[in-house]
Amino acid sequence: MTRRRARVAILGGALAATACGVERGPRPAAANPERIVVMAPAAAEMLESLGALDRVVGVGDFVREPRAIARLPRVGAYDAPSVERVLDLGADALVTSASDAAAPAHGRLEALGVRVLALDTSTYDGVFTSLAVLGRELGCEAQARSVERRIREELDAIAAQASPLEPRRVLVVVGRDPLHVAGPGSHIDRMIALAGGANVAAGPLAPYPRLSLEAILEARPEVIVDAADNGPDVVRGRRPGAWSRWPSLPAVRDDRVFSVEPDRLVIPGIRLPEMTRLMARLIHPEVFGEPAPAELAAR
Amino acid sequence: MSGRRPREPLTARRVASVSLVLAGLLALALVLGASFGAGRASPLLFVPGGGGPSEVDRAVLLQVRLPRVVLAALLGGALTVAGTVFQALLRNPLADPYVLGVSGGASIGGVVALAFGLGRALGGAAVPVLAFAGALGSLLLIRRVATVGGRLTVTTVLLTGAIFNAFSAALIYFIQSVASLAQLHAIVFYLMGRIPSYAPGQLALVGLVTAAVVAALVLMARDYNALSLGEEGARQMGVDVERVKRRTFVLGSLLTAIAVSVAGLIGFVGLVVPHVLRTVLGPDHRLLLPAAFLGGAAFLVLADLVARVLVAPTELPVGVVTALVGGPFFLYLLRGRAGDDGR
Repeated sequence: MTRRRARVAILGGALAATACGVERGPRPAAANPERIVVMAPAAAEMLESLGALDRVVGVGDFVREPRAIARLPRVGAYDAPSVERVLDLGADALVTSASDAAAPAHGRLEALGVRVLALDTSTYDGVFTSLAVLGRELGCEAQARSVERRIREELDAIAAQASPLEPRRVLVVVGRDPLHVAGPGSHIDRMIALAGGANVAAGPLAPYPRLSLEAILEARPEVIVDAADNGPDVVRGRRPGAWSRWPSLPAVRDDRVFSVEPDRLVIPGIRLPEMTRLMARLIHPEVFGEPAPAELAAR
Repeated sequence: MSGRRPREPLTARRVASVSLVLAGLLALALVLGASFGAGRASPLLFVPGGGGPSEVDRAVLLQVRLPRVVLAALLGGALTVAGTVFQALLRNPLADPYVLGVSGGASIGGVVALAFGLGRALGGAAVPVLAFAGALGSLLLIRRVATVGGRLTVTTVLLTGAIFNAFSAALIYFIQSVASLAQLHAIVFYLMGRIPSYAPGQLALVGLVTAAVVAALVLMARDYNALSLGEEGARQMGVDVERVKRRTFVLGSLLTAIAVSVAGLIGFVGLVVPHVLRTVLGPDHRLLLPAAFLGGAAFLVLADLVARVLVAPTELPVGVVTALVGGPFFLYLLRGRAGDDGR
């Protein structure tokens, strides 16, 4: 069992026996979906934490975990679900990420009697709201509250440990050529703050702005988290990579450039505590411990 | 298409003075381009008594901004010269560097490299190298298809280019549809066009090849003047029309291939700047071609400056600036000319 699975088990499994199986008391059909298609990885993990995976009958193309549902029939990308396939599966609910591109398909599914739960899991608050919505719609409210409580407790613990530390200037790169970074309003920005860092991409910027290399060099980041590469053969860990071209950067000079698998940081959800702890290790390894190579690589 | 001005005899003196003025304009653009950016670093720091640059200032100016400004000049010049000779070759005012389809081949090469996750391979050079290979491949293919009975005919060349570009676009959409999200990011921004900061060696390579090709095209200026009389007219003046067409096709495409493989698709430079210069300077290519290189260079340096500073510390794709400025200006020019001609 991997570290992540263990964590999910801690979060969700403890209550799985009590709450959310299919055999609950009678409920109104619309609020009691029995056949769920889940389109987004974050949403799938939430269903797992609520112990509702046994109701999943189909998945979106990007859902590769949990393994229990990864081999179910696929119905297209989250922003382009195939209405026909969802109907073929006899689904009564579609759990997905909010998407303008998919809105027409969602409307058609709703009209045909499929409940569409388009969650916004892109922020901390969004994750908690989504948990509450899923809990209510699936009849697992107590369990959803319990999962939320555990997430909040873990986050508070990390923040309490990080808050006395001198904040380090942090740059999180999510796209290269041109450079896109995590900016204000993104969950990564919040994660940096909780983990004892100061995001160098601050000010009136988009959540994931394209940032000029000049501005980055002048911001002199002390820690660079490079999650831009997702090739299969990318080496993860503490290594300057392409940033070695700029030896004057404090992060390069002090060997604080980390190459991290994007999955480890960029998909928020119930793994927020795990992600925030990883961020804390990247920013203050002397306090939170050196990040293990396995923590930075693909899951 | 050829300007409405009466043809005044072109003197070496006029070529020299116009070139000098445009070179001055380019120099001004280069200084402005080097002076401003998202960073605070300024060339004034390097002047004695300017306070002395920090290590970061040095990196920002010498390794990020200056190489980019110089590359913008080279590519702007290359695209404008390519547009000018294609307009002359095809005697079609809508011709631009991308009209012959070479850009489609280059895009396919670059997009394939990105889709297979080769963005960092060959020391980061995989994308431009594959794009250039794609451009050369499409150049040979299009040339073969468009050559009928040993001759390149204008209509066939235009149609082949248009069809090849449409085919490339479809292929790229196909690749985009099956690419992963991260690759999609890279592909979309690659196609939008951006001017990178090259290392000195790469910059020198681009500069040398560009200079050689531009020089070869400038040497054919008289042939383009003759071509404006039509192919038959040019033949009567002793021009080997087929040879001029073949060379122009290859050399202009080479310039396009360099620009697209290095910087993606930057529109409007190669379409608008030649028209503006032709309107102002008249149709003589002995003047027009050097002017195209200098004027195009200055234009792209300034457009890239706007792209870099307008929303700093964010950046705009430079193609957005060239199109937003170039599009309306082109229409204005078109209206003015239509009025002049009494149409």
